[in-house]
Amino acid sequence: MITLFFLLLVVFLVLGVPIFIALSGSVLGAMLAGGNLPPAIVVERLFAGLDKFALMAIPFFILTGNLMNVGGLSRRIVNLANLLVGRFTGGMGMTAVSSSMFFSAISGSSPATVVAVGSLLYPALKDQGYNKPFSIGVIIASGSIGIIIPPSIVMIVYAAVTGVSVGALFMAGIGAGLLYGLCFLPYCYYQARKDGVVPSPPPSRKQLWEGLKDSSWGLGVPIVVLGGIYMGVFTPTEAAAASVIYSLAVSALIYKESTAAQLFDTIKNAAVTTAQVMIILSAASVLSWFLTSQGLALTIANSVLSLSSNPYHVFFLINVTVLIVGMFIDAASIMIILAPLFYKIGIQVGINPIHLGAVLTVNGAVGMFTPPFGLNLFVASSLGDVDYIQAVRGSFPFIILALIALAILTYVPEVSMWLPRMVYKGIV
Amino acid sequence: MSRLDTVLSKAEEFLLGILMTTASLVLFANIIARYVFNWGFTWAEELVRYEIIWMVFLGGSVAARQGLHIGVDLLVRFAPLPLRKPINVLINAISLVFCGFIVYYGAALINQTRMFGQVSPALQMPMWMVQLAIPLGAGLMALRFAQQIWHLIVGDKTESHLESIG
Repeated sequence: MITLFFLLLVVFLVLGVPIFIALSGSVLGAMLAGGNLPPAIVVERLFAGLDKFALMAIPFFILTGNLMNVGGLSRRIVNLANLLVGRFTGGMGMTAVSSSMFFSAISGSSPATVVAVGSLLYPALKDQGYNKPFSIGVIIASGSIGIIIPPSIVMIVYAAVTGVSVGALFMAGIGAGLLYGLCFLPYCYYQARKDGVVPSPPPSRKQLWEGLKDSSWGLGVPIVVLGGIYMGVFTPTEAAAASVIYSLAVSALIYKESTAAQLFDTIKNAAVTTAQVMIILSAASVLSWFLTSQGLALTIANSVLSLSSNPYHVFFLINVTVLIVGMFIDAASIMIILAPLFYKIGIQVGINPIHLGAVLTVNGAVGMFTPPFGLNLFVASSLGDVDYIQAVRGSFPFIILALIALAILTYVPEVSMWLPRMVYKGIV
Repeated sequence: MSRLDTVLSKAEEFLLGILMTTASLVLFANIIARYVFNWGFTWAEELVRYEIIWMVFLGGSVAARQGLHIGVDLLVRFAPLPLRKPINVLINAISLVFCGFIVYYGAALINQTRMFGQVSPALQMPMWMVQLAIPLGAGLMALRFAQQIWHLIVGDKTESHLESIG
């Protein structure tokens, strides 16, 4: 039964069957072929996988990102980032990295970041004289920061399946995301030197102030979310809903750029995007249940622990596993399928669950742009004259840099943990 | 036939918008009620959960119609042109069969829940009404996958499915 399951899973994924069907259909197929489990359990698991209040933050964070974007937020953010770092050598590349970081603080998803930042900056990078592979690579790679800097869909899923505090995990994401972004900057400098790119002229104080003012309403979102959760005003899911109301108010009362009908269209589109993401989570929970019920999860856990009980070694094994799995499925599904297992192993060898969550998220971010199946690589082809091969070639140097960031985050816990330790004293 | 298709699509999308909007408002109202009136409603979380579950499976149908379900289109992309159509037909056929099974087993599950008369803890709503989202959504998706196969074989929309990803 297990062999058939793996066979179906691989065939479905390679063929290009929608991921949610590949994940749960392979389980259903294996159950229909043999064994004594009633197939109706698949339907029950599809339901139970979604029936968690913590996961309900996802639709609202997606909607917030979309609402802010209708008001032209991504243009404002890119402008601000360019004013801040555009003057340095490699400035336009750094602009791509830092606008992705800003944008991540409003949106919780990585492909959304690639599209929002890439559609504005990919042409600008090429115009300034960066070569094509670098231009696309920097967009694809920095887009992956979307799931590290809070709010983060992937972190919400980790917290939902392990029961750790979303607030503390979000705080850990700040340090992790900053380091991850910083690791890309030297390469931008190097590439600009090599391609002989002339940076933008430094902005005047007035321009800088205007840029900051222009984007300040968007940057209010992370303040509402993180501040609200931290002060205990509301749960993360409520924070997400509050940020929806906040963005609606900003769109309707301050930007005034969209009609009620346009806003309703944005809401409908966000609902479809939510469905795309959450139906995969639902299916992944079917697979997670199957691995546990077949005793596979226990076997994996025991074999990892039999190899070593040194936290450094265990962490290495976990990272390698997630990197490999991440080449084939997305970060949020990995969290549903593997995080409960790694959480248990981690507890046994003394790995802090918040630290583990941050590292798994960063690892998942790397998976967003590793070939063959990194989602950002495909999303990038919507940016115009880029094909898949170019996207892979351009991202390659960034994969190396992201792995360096991952190694630092894994073995220097303080990078991600200083903020949650400071803010949630005594709990983390 | 195409009129029916348009009406169904519009209805689905409208419902999605309503579910998303009311879910946001209910949660927000709950925060306000808790702080201003010192009284939160216990059913808010439950209602939002069920609304979003309905939204996900109805949205799945819209995503299926627009070819938006996330999948790995590497094979289709690199396959020689004459093979693309058969691969796409196969993908949609597998999806259709899967959804068929979900409708079948989902209906069985709902029958069982109805027989036991299970209700939700806070709203006291019959649970089968919530669970209905899954077989209904799968049924609507099946319709869309069948439609795609029809278009692939009869029409000329070879490239439409799986073109847009993410």
